[in-house]
Parts: sequence; C-alpha cells; structure tokens
Amino acid sequence: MKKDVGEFLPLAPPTLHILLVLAGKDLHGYGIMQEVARESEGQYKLGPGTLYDNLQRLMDQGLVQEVRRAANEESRRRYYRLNSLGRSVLAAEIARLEGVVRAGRLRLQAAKPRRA
Amino acid sequence: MGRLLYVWLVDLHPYRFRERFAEEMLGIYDEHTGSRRRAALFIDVLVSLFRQWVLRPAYRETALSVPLAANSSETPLFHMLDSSLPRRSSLVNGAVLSLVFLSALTFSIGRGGRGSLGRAFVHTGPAPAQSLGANGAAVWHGDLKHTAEDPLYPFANAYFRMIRVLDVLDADHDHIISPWEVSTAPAALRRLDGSHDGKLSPEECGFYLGANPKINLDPRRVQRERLRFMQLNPVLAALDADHDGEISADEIENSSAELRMLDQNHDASLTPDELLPGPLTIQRR
Repeated sequence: MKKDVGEFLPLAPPTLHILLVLAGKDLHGYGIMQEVARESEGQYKLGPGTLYDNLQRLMDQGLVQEVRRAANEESRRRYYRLNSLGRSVLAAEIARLEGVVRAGRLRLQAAKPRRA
Repeated sequence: MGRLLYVWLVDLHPYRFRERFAEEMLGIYDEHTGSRRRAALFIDVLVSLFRQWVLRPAYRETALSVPLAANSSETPLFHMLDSSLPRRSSLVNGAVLSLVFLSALTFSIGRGGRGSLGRAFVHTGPAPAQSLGANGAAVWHGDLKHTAEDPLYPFANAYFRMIRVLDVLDADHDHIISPWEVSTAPAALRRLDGSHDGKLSPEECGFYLGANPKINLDPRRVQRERLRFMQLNPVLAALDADHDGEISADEIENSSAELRMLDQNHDASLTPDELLPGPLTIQRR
C-alpha cells in the first residue's frame, strides 16, 4: 500500500537536515553529523543520540534504509540511504517550505511602511 | 574513564536501540576529541536515555519474541524469549521469594536463633572474647578481641587512654597486652620518656592534677598523690618494682618480666581484668 507523503509533514528540524544530507549521497552516522554541521554553517549540530533516534524512526517509517558497503570499508560503520519514499517526503517538505517562504515574503512586502 | 562511563550510559539504552546503534555511537565518541565536545556527547547521551525510555515506549519491547523457522510449514514454530529486560513474571517471583526469605530470617532471629536457619545467622553460644573458668569467673583469651559487648569495655577503654603506659604498651589498641606487646614493652616505655632522663615520672605515666595556676597545692600532698597513683594502678605498681614512685631505667629494661607477673591465668596475655584496678573489675570477679 502506497503511503501518503502528507502524513509525514511537517518534518522536525533534525529529520529535515538528515534527509537533506542523505539526498546527496549515502552516509554513515558520523558523516551525517559532519555534513549537517557543514551545510548549516555550524548553526545546527546533531548529537549521536538525536541522530540515531531519528534514523531509527526514519527506517521504521521506510524513508531511509541501511545499505551494505564493500568489505574493505570500516566494518563498524553502517551507511544510510534515502529511498524513494524518503525522497518524495523531502520533496513535499521542500515544496511546503517554499510555500511558507513565498507567503512570508508577500506578507512582509504588504506590511512595509509607506513613505510619507 | 570517560569512555567507560560513556559505554555504560550507552548500555543503559533499550536493547533494540543499543543493538543497532551502540557501536556507531562509540565510534563517534572516539572521533571526538576535546573536553567540550566530549561534554556535549555526555549531555546528548543522557537526553537520549530519557528519550528512549520515556518517550519511545513502542521501541522498548519489540524484540521480546522472534519467531524462528516461520516460513516452513513442516517445521514447528519456535519463539525466542530472549530480552534485555527480565520478564514481569520473573520479577514477581524474585520479589515473592525475597519476601519469604526475609520473613523467615526475621522470625528465626526473633525466636533467639533456635533452629538450623537461626543458627546459621545468630550465634547463641558464649561471647567470643571470653569463656567461663573453673571458678565460674570470666577468663580472657589472649588471641581474641576485647569486644564492646563486654561490661568492662567502657572502663577499659577510658582506663587505657588515661594510663599512658597502657596506651603505649597496647600497640594494636585492642585492650589486651599480647605476648608480643609484653616482649616489646621496654622499647614502648622508652617512647614515653619525654624528659630524656632515662626514667618515667608519674606525669610521664599519665598522672595529671590539672593546670589551674590559681590553685596552689601543697607540694607534700602532690608528692603523696603521685605515689598513690603509681601504687593504685596495677601495671604501674608492677613496673615500679622498688616503689619509689618512678620507673627507673633498670625497671624499664626489666618491664617484660614484671608484666608477666600480672598474668594470673597464665595465658601469656594481659587482659583488662588483670590490668584494671580492683574496684573496676569487682563486678567481673
């Protein structure tokens, strides 16, 4: 049964950041943390507890999946990949945020004080 | 130390979470250096503990029952009951058993330790530090400790502290002068010679009349009290062989032999009933 992406929205900030960085490439947990910090220019930092709590939930919901890496890579690290449902949810969230941004800009322009 | 604590905190997470992520969390801990970054990790893992146990009840008990061989219709279906948490029935059994055991123990102690269970926990025989002699009087054993249960203990405790000679002789402060302490008596007594005149005055043995300068005591009376002090206390009277009110260098040298003469029951040790003055031991004798 196909899930409705609308039921996942809106995404919490850590979930949004995790999906955003996984949209680019498969990453392990530490890689996700580093990438989130880099993309937010150090303004948003994920701790391992928050990261793995979100990853656990995202995997249970079927938005993210664990992928096996080549045998020569470090065995302790597990890699995570955004699957098609996750990509759809992320796209829907970005569209929602675009609507929020557009509406916000319109409101701010309308509320500009007129020059006397 | 910090890593051990972090491992322990990660291990406190629910089974499903730590099985899946514990190794990676430790890997991240190893990647982080610097006290500030590690402190942030500790705060994060504590918050995570709260989150997993309090806010994620759905993730706690999902690994309780895992069917094996479920795909084969001819093979019986087995369930693993392995879990990180003890089952509720086990907890209830343990609580009931503990309650029964404690009740039985309390009941047995209340009856004075009669019965096999009581004997295992309650000693009802004679006190360990003493036994009855032929005449019914208590006899001290030198190899046993003088205990607080003994009626002489408060007197002995105060007396051994007041008579400095006894305090230095009783090296292990068990209120018993053991054979070894008797044999090392000369060396112990020499430590009391604060004036370095080679002999021990009553003051060096523990005699004290007070330090109030307003009270002028008659010197003859003071001398009389000093002599009485040396004569009334059995151990001092024994050491001061010539009864001149001082323990001379020769008497110090010969102190082991003099102390052995106080050993009335010939057990080689000197116990409080052989050392305390008569009025203090009268209830024992």
